[in-house]
Amino acid sequence: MAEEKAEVNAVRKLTATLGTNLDGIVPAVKKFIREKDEALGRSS
Amino acid sequence: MDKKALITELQKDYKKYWGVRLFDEQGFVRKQCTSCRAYFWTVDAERTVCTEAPCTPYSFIGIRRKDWDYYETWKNVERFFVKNGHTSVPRYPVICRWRPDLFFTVASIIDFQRKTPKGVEFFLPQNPLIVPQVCLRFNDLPNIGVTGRHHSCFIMLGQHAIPQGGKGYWKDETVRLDWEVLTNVMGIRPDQIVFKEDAWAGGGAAGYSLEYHVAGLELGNAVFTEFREAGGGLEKMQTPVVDMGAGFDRWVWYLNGTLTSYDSAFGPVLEKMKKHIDYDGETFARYSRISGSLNFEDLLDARKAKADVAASLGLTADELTKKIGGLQAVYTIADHAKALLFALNDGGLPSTVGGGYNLRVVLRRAQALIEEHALPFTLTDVMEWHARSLTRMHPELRVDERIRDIVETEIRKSTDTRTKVRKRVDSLIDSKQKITDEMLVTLYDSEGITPEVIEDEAKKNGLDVNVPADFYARVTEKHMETAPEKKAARFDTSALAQTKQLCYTDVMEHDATVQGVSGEWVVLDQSAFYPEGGGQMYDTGTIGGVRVTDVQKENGIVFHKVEKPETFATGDRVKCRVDHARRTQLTQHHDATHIINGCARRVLGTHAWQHGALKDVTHARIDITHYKPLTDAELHEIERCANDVVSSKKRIRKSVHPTAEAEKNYSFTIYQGGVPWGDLRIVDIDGHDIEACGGTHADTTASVGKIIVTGTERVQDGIVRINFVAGDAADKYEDRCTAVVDELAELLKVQKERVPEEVEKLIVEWKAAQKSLEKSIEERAQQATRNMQFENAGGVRLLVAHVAGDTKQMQKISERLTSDDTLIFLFGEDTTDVPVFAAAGANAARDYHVGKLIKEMFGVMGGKGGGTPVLAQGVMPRMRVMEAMEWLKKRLK
Repeated sequence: MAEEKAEVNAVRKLTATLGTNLDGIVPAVKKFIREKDEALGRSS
Repeated sequence: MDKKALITELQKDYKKYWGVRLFDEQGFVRKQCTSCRAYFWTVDAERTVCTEAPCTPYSFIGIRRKDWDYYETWKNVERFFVKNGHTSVPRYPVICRWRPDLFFTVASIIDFQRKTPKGVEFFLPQNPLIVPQVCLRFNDLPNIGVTGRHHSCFIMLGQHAIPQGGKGYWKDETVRLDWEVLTNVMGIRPDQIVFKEDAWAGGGAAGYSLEYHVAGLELGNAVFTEFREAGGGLEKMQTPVVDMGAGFDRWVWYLNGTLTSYDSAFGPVLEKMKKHIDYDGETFARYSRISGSLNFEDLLDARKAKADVAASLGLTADELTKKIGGLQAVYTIADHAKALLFALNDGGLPSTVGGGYNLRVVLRRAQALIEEHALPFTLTDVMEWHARSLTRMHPELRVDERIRDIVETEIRKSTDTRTKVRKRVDSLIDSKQKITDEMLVTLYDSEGITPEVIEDEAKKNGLDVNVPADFYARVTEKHMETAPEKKAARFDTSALAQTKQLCYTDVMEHDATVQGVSGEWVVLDQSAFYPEGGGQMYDTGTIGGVRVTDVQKENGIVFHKVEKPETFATGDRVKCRVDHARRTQLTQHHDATHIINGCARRVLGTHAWQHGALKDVTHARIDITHYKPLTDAELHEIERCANDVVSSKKRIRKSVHPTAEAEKNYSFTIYQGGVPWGDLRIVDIDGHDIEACGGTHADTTASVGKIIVTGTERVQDGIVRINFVAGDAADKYEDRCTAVVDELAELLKVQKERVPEEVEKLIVEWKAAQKSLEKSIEERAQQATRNMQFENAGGVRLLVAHVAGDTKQMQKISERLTSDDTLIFLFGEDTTDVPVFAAAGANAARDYHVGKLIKEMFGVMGGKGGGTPVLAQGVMPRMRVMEAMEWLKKRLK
């Protein structure tokens, strides 16, 4: 059996954490960053 | 034609249909029962009533006729039929995999029926034969445990023959053999046996029948299926079938004379269970003699019947329950445990999918009775006792770790459901929402909460929920909804010959002659293009240099959708080229689907059954039946297994077999992808997975390349999806994974290896930031409300105010200030469009509809929005806010 690439394993973890598929990972992370920054800005 | 009409029609010439040689030889006479008015045949010339209960009450209880248990009774009966030229066929599974229209095997004849485009067809693997077919039926649940004779799981002794080609036999021989079994093998006196005239119609076939009754009990029913429905009437079938089905559990009951059929069928199991309950044996003995007349359709009916029976015993219904309720509970648990034992061993699962719902109902019913009577054993204990007690008859039954896990998971789900329902109903009550039919369907489909549970819980809280009478029919209909059929073309296909299909050969380029053109679709005399089917997407390529964008098949004709249909004319000779790379990828995904299916069964258990699949170019998926979400470890194990199958270079054999031969050689697991009819193309991955399949497959698993399981999701209760990629798509997927991880590493400014960890950290920080924002909004709301003053207007306390912050902030302020008699209108801050928020308390909402009010205001001042009588929001031009606030005050004063 071919050795699994580390990136494939990382994506598997990310899809499980974010509840999205491969295509949704980057937009989801960007959304979290944006919302975190907005929330911090508005609560200060 | 219904049964009654059929009997009336056939009785015009009763001798032709119900007359048999045995009746002449033995001097039978035809009589009409003075009680039920049915016609019957008997050797007792003095008899005036038939021997079916209630015309004749049970008169066999308390008399032990043979010293045979369940297994010995079967062996004696089997010996008789085998001696008389029959083959004894092993039972078929209780989960009816070979009939797409049935979930369970409900009768022995079902084993030998196949659905074809023409209707149901019969074929017997041996002729004549007998089969001890275990059947599951869930339409009599209120009767089970109560009447003494109803079971959800029972053996139907099937005696089947087709009089054809010098083999098999028809009604004379059927009745002669059954008469001999009843009189010689079972030792029943001839004058006690009555043959009642009856008929049967269903599934497009019909026939006349003779029911065998003895001492109040029906011991068998020989149906002579001779007709098929045609043009509103009946026509004779080419091959009539003898369908004699006998309730074998009743034979054992009759011979043993026990108080109920449960005692003779479950004997050793009941001994273990009865130790733990209190009951009045004397009352039960009296009850059991009259319970033969019990048979009710629903719970209301059951209550009335129970009260009548109790009265005839000189008791109230409550007193009767107290004396024998525990015993009836134990009978019910034993019955349901036996049904579950067979169903789970044969691959069934409790769920909301198809017949899985019936299994869920009996499992939860049995568990509820165990809890209600505080019994010191578990449902799996009872299943285990059954398995041991049935070991001589059914050595295949097990209660292994998987079955225990299925049952325990379902019990946990049931407990969770009760908690969930309580919470959900509470929240619906709080929100004053009406529980609609759509909500009931959604809750049932997505969370497995049955409408009856919601109805019960709602009633406890004084909320009225009416479950539609056709609820389950609606759900079934919803599940039966399929995507609109992709019509190939509006062709008159009658003049077209079937396309010679080359897609199962290695041909990728060939010449062909155009047979017809209609719209965008072209038909050829032969085609190597694979038409979409079995979840595998269609081939593309070119015909005469023109791009093919879709391929479909209908009635054996392959339709090719082309970009420039005007370039084709009937009779043209064209050169066809299939896109080789696309075909290879689709084939890799199809092979991988079979491999993963086989691995899922190995890793998860034989209950894992393909429910659906898609094989596209960039990705593939398989949906399988499974009772809980897949764990990472299970997914990893399935992926490892799949890649092992690839690296072991297994041969993939494709061969065509007649249905009977394929079923016999490969078992019903060949129907994983559906149930085709006719000669079956079997795809066998060297025993790892064997399925009837019309897709494209390579010759060896080595061609599949790498398989990556990309994830899993829950499709619905009882169905999980495995997403995967194989071959070239797997290589591309790896490249995309690398790109995503690289992008995230840059975005988060971390090393690639730390990306998953960093994303988890980001989510924790995001949660903290949201919490901090909530806190800040709350504090600001607290501050803002300090100086706000209500004024009395139109019988309510009115607040029209300007506040700092967005809609969320205004909502928080409104929450703090709202009471029953308040009307609140808040205007926010923004540079152009100002947010507006309105809320009414419960009493104020009786006189004012804030949704309509702000709509009216926007009509005058500009802006847009609306809402309900209690909550509304919108936006309006900043320039007119002050004016709007004044307008509102005036409007409400």
